[in-house]
Order: sequence, then C-alpha cells, then structure tokens
Amino acid sequence: MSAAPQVTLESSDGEKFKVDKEVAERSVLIKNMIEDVGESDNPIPLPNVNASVLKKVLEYCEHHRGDPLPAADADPSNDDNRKRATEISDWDQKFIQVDQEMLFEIILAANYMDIKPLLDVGCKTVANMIKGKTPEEIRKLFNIVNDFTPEEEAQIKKENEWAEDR
Amino acid sequence: METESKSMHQARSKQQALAGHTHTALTVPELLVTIFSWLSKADLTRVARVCRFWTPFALDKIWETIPDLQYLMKLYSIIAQKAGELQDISGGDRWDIFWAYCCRVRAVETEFGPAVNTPGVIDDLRSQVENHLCGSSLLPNLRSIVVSVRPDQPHLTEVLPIIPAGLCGMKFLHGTSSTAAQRFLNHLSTIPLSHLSDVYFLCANRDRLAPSTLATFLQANRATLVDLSLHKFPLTVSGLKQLGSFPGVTNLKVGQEGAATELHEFFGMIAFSFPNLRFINVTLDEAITEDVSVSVIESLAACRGLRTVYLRIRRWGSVTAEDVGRFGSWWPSMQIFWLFQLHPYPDQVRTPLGILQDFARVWSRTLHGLWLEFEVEAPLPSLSSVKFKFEGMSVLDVGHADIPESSVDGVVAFLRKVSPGRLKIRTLGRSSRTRWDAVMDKVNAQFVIHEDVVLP
Repeated sequence: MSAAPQVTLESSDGEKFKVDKEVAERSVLIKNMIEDVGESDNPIPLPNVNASVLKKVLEYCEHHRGDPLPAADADPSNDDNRKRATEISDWDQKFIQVDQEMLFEIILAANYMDIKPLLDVGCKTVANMIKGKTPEEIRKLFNIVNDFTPEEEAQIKKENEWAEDR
Repeated sequence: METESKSMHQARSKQQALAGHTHTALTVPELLVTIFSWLSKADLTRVARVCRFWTPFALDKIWETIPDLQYLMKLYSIIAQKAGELQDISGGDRWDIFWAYCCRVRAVETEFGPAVNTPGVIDDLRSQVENHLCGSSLLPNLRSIVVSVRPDQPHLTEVLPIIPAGLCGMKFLHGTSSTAAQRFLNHLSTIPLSHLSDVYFLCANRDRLAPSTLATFLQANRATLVDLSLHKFPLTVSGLKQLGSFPGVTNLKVGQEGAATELHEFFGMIAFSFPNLRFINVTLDEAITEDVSVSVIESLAACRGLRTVYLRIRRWGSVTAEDVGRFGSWWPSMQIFWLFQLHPYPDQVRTPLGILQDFARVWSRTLHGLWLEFEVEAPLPSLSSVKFKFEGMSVLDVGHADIPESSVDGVVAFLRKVSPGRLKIRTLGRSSRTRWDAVMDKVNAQFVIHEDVVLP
C-alpha cells in the first residue's frame, strides 16, 4: 500500500511534525510554499508558531482535511449566512474551548498560516465573548487599560447612540 | 522539548497576566477588523469605548452602512451644537471629528430621512461643505445609496452634495413622477458620476417617471452602466425605445407591459439597445393570458453573449426539438435557461424528459438551471437510448405539478443518468411535492419548496 505523501513542519521551538500533505495544505501559506519550492524532504519552518499551538492547529486541519474550500460553497440564496454565522459547529466549539492565551495564539497562527476557516472560528469565539458586555467588562476580560477620560467616553457614546438598538 | 516549551509558554502568559498585558492578537488591526465583523452595531457601540486603539475600528464598522442620512444630520448637530446653538466649527477639531465619521460611510441603505427635524442643519452643513470641501462631496467614500422619493420630501435636492463622483450603485425606490423625484433626477443627471455601474428603479404604481426623464439620467451615465434593473418599472416598446442604447450593460432586469403581439418587437428592441447582455430577466405583462410562443425569443438571438435567461410569463407555449436546437446554436454557453412555466403538452408525444434530453443535447456541459414542468404522463424514453447528461446541472425548477405516480421510477432512473451531480429540485407550493419526495429519496437531490421562486 502506497502511503499518502507527507511533509514535515518545524515549530518555532524546533519540534518536528510529520503530517499528510493534504492536511498541511489546509494552510494556504504551506500550500504556496510547497508549490514554490516543490516536493522536498526538508522540514518547512514555521518561525511564528510554537509546538503546542502547532499541534492544536494540525488537529484542526486533520479533522477538516476533506472539507470543501470555503469559496466553493457560496450559495447566493443563503444570504443570511452572515447573520447566523456566529454559530460554530459542535466539533469546532469543543476544539476551541481552550484558555484565552491559547485561543489568541491559535488566532495568530491561523492568520499567519492563512487558514481562513480556523481564523473565523477563533474570531467568532472572541466576538461571542464580547457580545452583550459593557466596555468595563470587556476591558477586564482582556486586560485592557482604559485610556479614556469619562468625558471622552461619554462623547463617543453620544455620537453613536443611534446604533445602540441595532 | 515540548514540556520545556509548554512551561515557557505558561510562564509567559502568567507574566502577561500579572503585568496586565493585552494579548498581542488584540493589537493587530486586521484581526480586530475580523472580530468586529461578527458583532452587531449595538455591541460595537460598547466596543468603541473600550480603548483608544479599538475605537476607529469599531466606528468604521458602525458607520460603514447607515440606515438613513438623518443620523448624519443628528451627528452634526451633536458635534456642532453648544448651549443649544449650532456653532461654526470651521477648521477646528470638531470639524475633523465630524469629517472622520463622514469618511467612514460607504452605503446609505434605506432612504433619505423623511423628516429631518433639525432646522438649519442642512443649510449649515451645506455652507460648511462649501467652505471646507471646495465642491467635493460630504461622503467621499459613499459607494451605494438607496433613495426613496415621496412627494412630501422637500430636502431631496438639498442633500445632493453628499453624492460623490465615485458612487457605484444607486437604488431609486418609488420612482414616481412627483416634482421632487423629477427635480432630484434632473439634478443628479448633471453630477459627473464617473463610476455609476449599478442602477435600480422601482415603482409599483402607474404614476411612474416618464421614460424620457429616466433616459436623460441613464444616458448621462451610459459609459459606466453595467447593471440595470427596471424590473418593477415595466416598459412598453415605445418606452424602451426612448431609453436609447447601452452597449456597456451586461445585466438587465426589466418588466414589460403591453400585448403579447408586441413581444417580438419588445425583445428585438432589447437586443438592439443592449447588444452585450450576459444576463437577462424579463417579467412579461400579467395581462397576457394566452400562451406565448417561444418563437418570440428569436428576437434576442442578436445578444450572442447571453448566459443567463429568466423569462417570466403566465405560461409559455410548446417547445420543439428544433426550437431547442436553435437556442443552442445562438447561445452555446447557456448556464441558466428559465422560461416560467415551460410545459410539455398532453396532446404531444413529447414528454418533459424528452425536452430535458433536447436541452442536454445542446448544453450538456454548460447548463446549471432549467424550468420544466413534469405533469404529463407519457411513455418514458428507454434508458439505453439516453446518451446525454448534464455535467453541472444544479437547480431544476419543476413548477406546480406533481409527477404521475407511475412515473416515479422512470423519472428517478432518468435523472440519475442525465444529471449525475448534486441536484436541487424546486417545486412551487407544498401540495405538489408528494411524489417528488419519492424521487428525492432515490436521486442525489435536495428538495426545496418555493411558494414563489425568487429570481436574481
């Protein structure tokens, strides 16, 4: 039995991961690199992604290896896609239940490796965390320092009041 | 090695938590844009107040599409008002704040405010625009606008300065022949719009703008028009003649009014005025009650680039193999051929499956969508004689009628052979689906019921 073609990825901290080419190519970055360089036994370096994050990202790619590419699935009669889109599939939901640090690392990795569906899952999760919260709650949640004076904050609120019930 | 990296990782996040650091991801503009794109305007109004760095990204999203121009007027009065009076904010910080908001607006989605109850704002705004923008538009990045004209709207022309030369799309609702509408359109015809490609006119009642008024506006933008919709703005042959010709238009939606006897001329006029169409959608006059012969379509043959055809009428007459052969020779790359409602006739030997096979003969590689009613009980073609298939058929509209019970197996076998891919079968109304359900169970089909099929 001939094995599926494989590639080796190397994380920022030097760990090597051998995976099916099909799985690695969920990343547009890696797909392009393989196309540019051609097949090679040399590991592909990913200097912005550490081993624990890469492992997680590859778990996602493995699960979604057979998925159709997102653009091919556009059904014009489904224009409310955007509205319902904050729903995340059960598997993805479970997958993304990680601590906040890991969530952001996955988002950065998905952005760097150009894995659009994973980036969307991550960003939707952050959006869901933000929903319904006050500015102060959001700051607390993400360790953000308030650099507004109360007057400035009130002015922004006033200028955008019309959008508060939309 | 993994353990080591994990502990480093943990140390780093602990350090960050202690120092109260925000994660780097929340300081990357493109990521903030993506995250904010999943939030409602209401959530964004709170996000905008979290920290200075986030504010512009949240405001960009809130103001990208505004439902009404009155919100801009209100914003102006909030920013320019002090102690109950509008101030001159020329050249100051407050003008810069207002201007930053203006630059964010890319679309105004519903209508001009029916009542801008902020006296003086429009006049004041206009003089500010003249002072600061030297004739440039108040909304420089506005790309699409929906204008709703009502007779009681005095402010319509006054807000014209907001429209930038770069406007791409315009929807004009209630295109009535009221003075306000005519004045607005005449003014608009004088603005040098350099990118207007997408124009939509709607007027359901009989009191429509004269085709000549419409023509002046459309002709002024003849060079850039690509997409023209006069769907709910039915035209007669003479109305169509007055519009003039638009070689740049590739997509046309138009309503027709007039007798069935005028249809040859109507389609001929379309082919003459819009020679480079790729997409056409015509809704024919509801008053036409007789069956219309498919031969009227002949007049469209001059539009050789047609790929998508939607022709809606109460009922089409019969279609012969020769008709289909001619369609194929005029338009070899047809993707959607949708003649509502195309029936085979009981008194004919030809079955819906026979007609489907005719279409497969000419467009087996290109066709995605077709309308064909399956009500007729007639001998099924022998499967061994079926040599054609549709490579990419994705939507089959089958109309009101259920298929005869005795035909279910035959239809299944036929569809399987003729359309090997995934097929969406749409019926009109719930009552007609029972036996189609049986077909769906057996073919690789997704069944969709449409009370009224919505066309693009």
